[in-house]
Amino acid sequence: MKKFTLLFAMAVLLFTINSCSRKVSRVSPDEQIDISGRWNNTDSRLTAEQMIGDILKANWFTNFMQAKQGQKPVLICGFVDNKSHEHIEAETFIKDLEQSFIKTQKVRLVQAGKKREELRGERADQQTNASVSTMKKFGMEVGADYILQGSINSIVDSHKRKKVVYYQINLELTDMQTSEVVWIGDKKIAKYVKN
Amino acid sequence: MIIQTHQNNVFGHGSIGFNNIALFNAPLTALGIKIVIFKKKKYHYNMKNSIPILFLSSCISLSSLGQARQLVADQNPQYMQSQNKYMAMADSLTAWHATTLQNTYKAYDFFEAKAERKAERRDFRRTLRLERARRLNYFDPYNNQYYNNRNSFWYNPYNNFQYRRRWW
Repeated sequence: MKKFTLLFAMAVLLFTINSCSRKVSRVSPDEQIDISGRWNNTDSRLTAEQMIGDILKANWFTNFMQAKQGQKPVLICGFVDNKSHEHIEAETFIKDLEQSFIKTQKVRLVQAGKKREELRGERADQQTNASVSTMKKFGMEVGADYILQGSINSIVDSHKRKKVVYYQINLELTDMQTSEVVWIGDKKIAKYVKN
Repeated sequence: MIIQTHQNNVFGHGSIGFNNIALFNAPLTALGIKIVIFKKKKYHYNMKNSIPILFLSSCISLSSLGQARQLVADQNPQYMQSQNKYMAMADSLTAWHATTLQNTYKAYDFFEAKAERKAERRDFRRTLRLERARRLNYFDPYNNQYYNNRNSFWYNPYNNFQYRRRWW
């Protein structure tokens, strides 16, 4: 009887220790793990894959190359407006997209926003601190031909334990000179969540 | 060493200190420097001289103006209105480029709403408890519970128990 009690106590102790300890393990970023049903890394990855596949195969690219005698188009990234019900950071898939531009060497990319402000600040600093031979000049930046803007929208339909969440991510490419929209890419994700 | 200069070129428009040029020169001559000052030639204004200069300057200014306002084919002639407007606010418009603007909304979720209602009830009960505890420790001289005035049962204006005929 004593032995049994001891074994039982040991088992309870082991169970308690196991259940209280936190376990962390590395998983592949490509692995699909859905926990809460909210926007997650899988959604971001799927969006990036779809957009990368679409943007460089679309007609705007060949049209530009023909019109400009083989010159590569220059792109700048604008805002992505998140109008969904969740906090979604678009930079996760926008960066994947930008990376693909640089990797494929089909499109030239110019810096935008705060980073551009920072490098202009650095250039201004060079005007007084760098040697004349290494100092970079103002007014020599590459002007963008197209701006990439986007929006994220969502629709939620829920009743008691069931919920359907729909995300629509749109990226638009607009000609800087004419304001003509030359490409719209979209990724639609629908999730059925049952609590 | 000899420094040759015009009077106006050394000290601007006036001739400050040049009355005592000998005094000014004395320490310099010791160092082997001598300042020789020439009087500037008096310039007589002549209309004939100024005509080509005026013509040239007007030509340059007109050509530069023409370059600035030169329209490309099919360009709107009023484009400067828009350009001036957006040039003034370009920095603020582009500062947050390459970022996500979070204009999120609150979607209805059955379980979230239930949990919120529960949390609200809990919060209300807690506030009520705290308020009660606070009031018990608070001495209000106009509502003194120790002397049974006003709020007391016997002095309540909404009941007339004290004036009623009692069975005993």
